[in-house]
Order: sequence, then C-alpha cells, then structure tokens
Amino acid sequence: MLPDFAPYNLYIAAAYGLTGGALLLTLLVVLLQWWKAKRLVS
Amino acid sequence: MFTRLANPAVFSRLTQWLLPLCAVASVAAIALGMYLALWLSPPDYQQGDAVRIMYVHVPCAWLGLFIYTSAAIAALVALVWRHRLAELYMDAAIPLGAVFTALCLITGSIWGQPMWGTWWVWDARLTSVLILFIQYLGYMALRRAFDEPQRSLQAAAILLLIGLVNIPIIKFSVEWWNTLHQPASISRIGKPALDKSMMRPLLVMAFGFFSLYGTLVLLRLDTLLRRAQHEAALLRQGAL
Repeated sequence: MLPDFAPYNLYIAAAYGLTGGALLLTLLVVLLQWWKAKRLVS
Repeated sequence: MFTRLANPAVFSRLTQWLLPLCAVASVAAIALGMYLALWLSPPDYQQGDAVRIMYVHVPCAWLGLFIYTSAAIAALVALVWRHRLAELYMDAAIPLGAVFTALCLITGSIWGQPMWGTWWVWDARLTSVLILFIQYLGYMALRRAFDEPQRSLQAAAILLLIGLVNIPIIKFSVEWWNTLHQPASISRIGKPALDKSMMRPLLVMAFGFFSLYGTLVLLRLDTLLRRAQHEAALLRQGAL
C-alpha cells in the first residue's frame, strides 16, 4: 500500500518516477551498448 | 597501480568482480533507501511531505559534482601522462554525469514549485548547476567536433579542466550570494542541520546512487575498451 502524501502526491510521484525511469533507461542503453561491444570482442 | 590498470586484461579481471558487487549494492541500497524515504522518514515541520523529493534530488546533485570532478582529474592524468584508462574514463563518465545533473535540475524544479511557488528562478545555485549541465553537453559536442580523435580528446580535456572552476562556485553559491535555494545543511562543519531520521535515508540513497554510477561507468568503460580492441584488430587486418 502506497503512503498518502497529499497535497504533494503528484510532485513526489513525478520526482521519483522521472528519476527511476531515466536511470532505468540509462541502464538499458548502457547494457545494450555493452552487449553489442561484447559481441564484437568476446 | 595506474599503469597496471591501463592493461585491458587487468582491468577486465577487476571489472569482473567489481561489477556484480556494485550492481548488488545499488539494488539493495536503493530498495532500502526508498523504503526509508517513503515509509519510515518523517515529514519536515516546514515543508511537509514534499521534503521526500530531497532523497532523489540530493544524490543526483552530489553525483553531478562528483562525476565532473573525477572526469577533470582524469583529464589532467590523460593530458600529462596520456593514460589510456583516464582517456576512456572521461568518455565513459561524462554522459552519465549529464544524466544525473539533468535529473538534479528536474527534481529540483519539481521540488521548487510547491515550496517556492515557481519551477525555476535564476538564482546563483540553480544557474551554476545549469551551467554545469551545459559544460557536460559541451564536452560531448567537442568530442565529436574534430576528425582527429586525439585532438578532440585534448580539446575536451582542456575544456573539462577550465570548467572545474564552476565546482566551487556551485558549492559556495548559496553562501556567496543571496539565493532562494537553501544554504548547505548536510556538509556544514560541526553539526548538520538534518535530523538523523532524514539523514539516514539520504545517505542510504546516496550510497545506492553512487553504486549505480559505479555499475554504469564500469559497464561503459568495458564497452569502450572492447570497441577500442575491435578497432585495433580491424586496423591490423587492414595493414596486413
């Protein structure tokens, strides 16, 4: 159960959501590049 | 030691055990940090629950400063000793620094709206961090601006070193100028202005973010090393 931070729910969700999303996307891109390079030289 | 690390085989062996360690530490610390930040830590007596944005905003800000400083040190090592790993570290770290600095600006803006009543204000702290973000972009642009890789690397390394002057400006901007951004509350000499119940989740989240950065930068260094090995192999084939 998620806690209620009213009236700041939207701001907190946006801050954590954007940070989490951006970092996951970065990890995905970095992993993809690493996997491609690993296929070149293994 | 640095010379030994410049050897790709030694560095790969080091990465093999350091990478899983950083990855596990980051997942565990961020999960624990989220629990502490969102469930256990109390609301602030002035800011209410909006203070919880601090637990993602501050680690991003610390990383933005740390990555730039470490890359500038690598730039100096690369310029003076032409250390291969230092050259690769700059390229590996800078895009990650740009991501963390952008997240610092975005989360700060989201925090600023309910607290200050505005998304953005041109005060010294916010402006100097925006300049840091532009410096990151400047490095990436400069690395692609020359046909000759060694020249672009030297120019970008010099840019990194010159830009280092912005780091103390960011740190002390809240003391040197009258800013809307709050003054330093964690790194204050003597007693930090943050209660233990808030300091604990902040430090756990910071540890998680730094471990995540460790994971990402090691992966990127390994990627760049493998690409360099591949290019060298192609050149050798072409020469035969």
